[in-house]
This record gives sequence, structure tokens and C-alpha cells, in this order.
Amino acid sequence: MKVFDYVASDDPMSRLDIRLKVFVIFSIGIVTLMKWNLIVLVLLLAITVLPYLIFARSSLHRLKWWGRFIVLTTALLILSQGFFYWGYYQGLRVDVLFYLFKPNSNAFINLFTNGMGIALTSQGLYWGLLAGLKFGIMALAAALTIMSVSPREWSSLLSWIKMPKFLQRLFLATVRVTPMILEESLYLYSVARLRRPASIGDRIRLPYRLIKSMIFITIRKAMLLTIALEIKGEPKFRPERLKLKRKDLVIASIWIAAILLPGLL
Amino acid sequence: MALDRGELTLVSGPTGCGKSTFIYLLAGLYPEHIFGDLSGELRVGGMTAPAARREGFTFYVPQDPVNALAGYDVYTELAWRGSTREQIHDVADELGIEKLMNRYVMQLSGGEVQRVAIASAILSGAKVLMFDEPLANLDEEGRTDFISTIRRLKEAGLAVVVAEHKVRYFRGMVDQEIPLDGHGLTGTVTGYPPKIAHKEGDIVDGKSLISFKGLSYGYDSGLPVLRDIELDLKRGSVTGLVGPNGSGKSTLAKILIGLIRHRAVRLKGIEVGFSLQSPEAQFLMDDVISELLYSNGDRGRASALMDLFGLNDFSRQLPHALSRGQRVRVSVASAAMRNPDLLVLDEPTQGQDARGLYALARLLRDEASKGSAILIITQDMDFAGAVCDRILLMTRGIIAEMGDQNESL
Repeated sequence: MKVFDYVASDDPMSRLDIRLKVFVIFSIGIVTLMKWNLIVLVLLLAITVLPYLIFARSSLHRLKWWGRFIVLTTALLILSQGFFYWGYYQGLRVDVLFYLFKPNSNAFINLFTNGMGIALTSQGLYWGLLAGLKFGIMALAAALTIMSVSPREWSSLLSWIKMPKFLQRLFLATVRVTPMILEESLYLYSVARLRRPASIGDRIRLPYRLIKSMIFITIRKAMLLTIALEIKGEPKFRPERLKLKRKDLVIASIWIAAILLPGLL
Repeated sequence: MALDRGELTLVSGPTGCGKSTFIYLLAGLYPEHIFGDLSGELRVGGMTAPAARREGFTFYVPQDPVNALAGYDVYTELAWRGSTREQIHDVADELGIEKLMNRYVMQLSGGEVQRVAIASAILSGAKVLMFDEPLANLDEEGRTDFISTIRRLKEAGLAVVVAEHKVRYFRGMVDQEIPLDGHGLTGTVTGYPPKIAHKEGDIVDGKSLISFKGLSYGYDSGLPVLRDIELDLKRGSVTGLVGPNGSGKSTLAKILIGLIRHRAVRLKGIEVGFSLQSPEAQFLMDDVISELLYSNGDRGRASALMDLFGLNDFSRQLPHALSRGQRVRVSVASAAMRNPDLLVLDEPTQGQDARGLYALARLLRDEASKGSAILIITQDMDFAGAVCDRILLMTRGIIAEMGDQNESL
């Protein structure tokens, strides 16, 4: 699955100590959640993507799917917030661009809006844009981290935080299986689109059939992986010990400073 | 049967005869993973088969090894049972997978996965190794490497059990053969495809259906999988695409059917039928006959294809529950149901016995004679030689050789 796969690469971002990377990503998340300013959020977006754009270009081409997902989600957020801005229903002063349903014009709508109708507001659109940006920054930060951290590094991190072994195994099995199942599901969907069913009935039932086939495939894959794990037994290797390098500390410090700067604005 | 140290046992037989079930039993995967009644006695190393598995005495590589690699990257997979770095590199070098060491298992081609799974078995430290169709996705070099590895393992005193259709690769080294016919231990098996000549009136070299030049493609920027490909697929012609594992053959197939969009390939107005390397990921219906009727409701055609591929006994079975060879047959028959202008089949010979190969060859010639352009990707050079009008050799993303079957072979 190109969306969740680790992209093996030998660039400074991929080599960066996983603990620092996770810390930086959390910092980005916290500052993003705290700030409701368009310029600050745009700066944070740039700070999230720029290090990868400069040092880890191999991960970026995989962001097409994420790009589409974020644009779609942001568009939905802008639309929903535009029409259902909380401030409008709380009686704040807002600029109404137009009414989809004027106040007290429709008894059914009144039931849900307390007689306020549905209005598109400029404040709602702005709020939606900010929410979309926040979501986009967090999603990109997560995606770029997933793509630049190898499963072996995850394993080392879990050992470092002394996570119980069975939880480590559960986490790593999820890391192993999730992309596999997502890839198969996407593949099944793409192939189904190419195959084009003969009857209209089959076309209507396609989503149901897809879900059913995905369940079959998931069960089969899970069963085969269970057999493999049973045959192989407990893993006997130890995760590599994490060693903090000076170079990593310098990169992470610059990165965190860059995050804090818009955070202070 | 009795298995001794340093012996190679070959389990052979037609598709769906029970080879995998037999290996499952030997590997001690009952009663948890096989539902049925077991009679008789099965002991491995003086233990019951499940106990031998739990003790790490036996190790099993399934037909579909990508699902059985427990590690996330190749190195983790090979280090699973605590092998040292030197042991891992020695085996990796022997099987030609040294360069794959840091790759994520999901990014490997079918043949590369097979090699990694074999390496994993060798490094397991088990005394009895079992392989279910290990040659299916391997290129010629991979097959040769596997055979010499088996020879070395035998010399080292390991017992090896292999279930395989391609029995000729093991000639001269098999200590005992167990030919299954689906009802017990009987009969002998041959696995050579028939030579099918063109019939009079066949369209042998028709008009070009798809042609393009300069096609390049890569999943990762800076790492092109396909480079400057030039291809011309003509109606009435069967083209074989052969080449080493990981050379980009399946990627080209995905572009040709439109699964990966590429501006060089225009498929507008062309009916495309296809069967890809993982046939189960194409199945949508609850039984085999419905799967065939999915994209074309012609029951007569479905019945003829079911006859050709020997699928009548399974018509009401869930396609996912069939053996790999049978799943491939269902997938190929479904592709043919569309009466395609372009038929693309990726490894359609995997898991096929003589009957399956014959049926496949018959289908390809029939479709070609009706004017379809056909591209088959295969590692089976005998089959390619028997069926294809021309053969393309792909290495490292480029088409290195192009000629009629005799020239190329």
C-alpha cells in the first residue's frame, strides 16, 4: 500500500532518530491544535513538509493520495462549517452570504436548527479552512513519519519505552498486516472497476460484493500469517538499541525551533 | 511413506489433488488449520507432526509465500529465528537476494518473495523442510539456485519435501516420489505443455491493436521500473513476456490493462480481459459459475470454458476456497468470458498440471484465431515456446530481446 508503506531511503530524514522524529511530530501536533491563525498554520504546514522536500524527496511522490484525501476533507470541512458554523447558531454576529433555508421558513429544518434555518457564513468558511489546514498538517506529519520510519525502528522504539512484549507484537503485526489488507482492498476495488459487471443488478450489488470479498481476503491472509507465525515461533532476534547521534540532535533542534517560532506568534 | 535424513521426497499430481493438504499434514498444521477427519499415524522425528512443528523440527513454505512472511523487511524475516549476520548473508548470497536485504516485503515481486521465503526456511534451523510449489514464481536462474540449494541441504542431512508440478527440475535427485491423484497414492504425472500448431484460417499476424514507444514508469521517483519500452501487440498474435524476477513484467501488464494509468497506452474502445498474479484479489462472486458470468452473461460460453478448464465439479464452490491452480483457471476463464480484444495473463501457468497447461494453450490459440491480441507473462519457457508466436525478454525494465519463439528461445 503506497499510502502507509515505509519508503526505504538513506536520507537525513529517514536516518533521523525515531525518538526525535516522534517528538518533533508531537510538537507540530500540539502547536497546530493550539493555533487558530491562517498564517501560522500555513507556516506550520511548510515546516512539516519542507524538511522532507529538501532531504527526503523519495517519500514525497507517495503523497499524491494524501494530497487528494486532504483536499477532499478540507473541502468537506469548509462546506460543512460554512453552512453549519457554530457561532451562527450561538447567536454571534456573523456575515451571512446567503440563506439555504431562511429562519422559520421550513418546519422540518426548524426541528434541527431551533428556527435559525441554514445559512452560509463567511466566518464558517474561514473556520472550515482553518480546521481543514489543521487536519492536513496532522495527516501529512503522520504520513511522512510512517513513510520514513522502518518497522525495525518502530520495534526498537517500543523496546526502548519498555512496552510489554505481547503489545509490541500486536503493534508490529498490525504494522505488517494493515498495509497488506489495504493494498488488497484497493487492488480489488481497482480490478472490479476494470471488470465492469454485465448486469445492472451486479452493478448495484458491487459495494456489497467488494466488502464481502475484502472480508474473505482478510480472513485468508490473517490465517496464512497465523500459520507462518506458528511455524516460525517466537522471534529470536533483539531489536537494535537506539543510539542518539549529535547530528540528529542538531537537525531536531533546528526543526523544533522552527515549529516554536510560529507557535509564539 | 517414510522420510529419512538427507532425502528428497517429491509430491506430485494434478491441480487440486491434495498436494498442499498433504504438506499441511506433514507440517503439523492439523487440527487447528485443517478441518476434516484424519486417520492413520503420522510421526516426525519421533513426535506427532504438531509437536514436531512446535519444537521447530519442521518448517513449511506455503504456495503463496507473501502472506507467510512474518517479518516486515527482508532482513527481519531472515533473522527471525536468531540467525547470525554471517549466516543470513551466506544464504542471501546463495539465493541471489543480497540486494533485497533492506526492502520491505510488500515491495517485492512474486519471484523475489519466493526466494526470501526459501531463504527463511533454510535459516530456520529445522531438520525437515517442506516447500509447496517453490518453483512457481521463480525465473530460470532462481530455479537453478533453488535446486543446487536443495542438493546442498540434502548433503547436510536435512530431509526435504517438495510438492511441485515441474518434476523435471528434480530429475536425478529425488529419493522418493509420491504421485497423488486426488484419491490416494497412485499414478504418474507428466507436466509438459503440448505443441499446438496454427490451424488453417487462423489470424496469425493481424493489425496492430496497441502500440507505443518510449514508455517509462517508476513507483518511486528516481527508480524507474520500466524504461523506454516499445511494444506492438497485433491481433491474432500470442506474445510471451519472459524475464528475471523483479524485471518489471507485472508492472507492464498492469499498465496494459489500465490498472496503472499511463498516457502512452490508450485503451479506449478496446475490450480488455486479464488475469493477474494474485487471482483471488479479482474474485467478487460467491461461486465459480457466477464469477465467470460476472462480466458476460453468456451461459453457453461459460459452460464451454468450465469444460475446457475442468471446473465443472467446482461450479458452486467459493472461488477463494479453491487450490491456487484452480483459482488461476477461474481467473483466466473469467478473463476469456469478456471476448476480449486484448487478453493479458500474468503467470497463468502457476500451479497448472498438464491438463491445465493444455487447456490454457488451447484457449490462447482459440482467442488468437478469433483476432485477440494476447500477452502472457510466464517463467515457463517450455510453455512459451509451445504457444507464443513471439517472445520478448525483459531485464531490468527494458525489453532486451524481441523475436519469434525460436530466435528468442
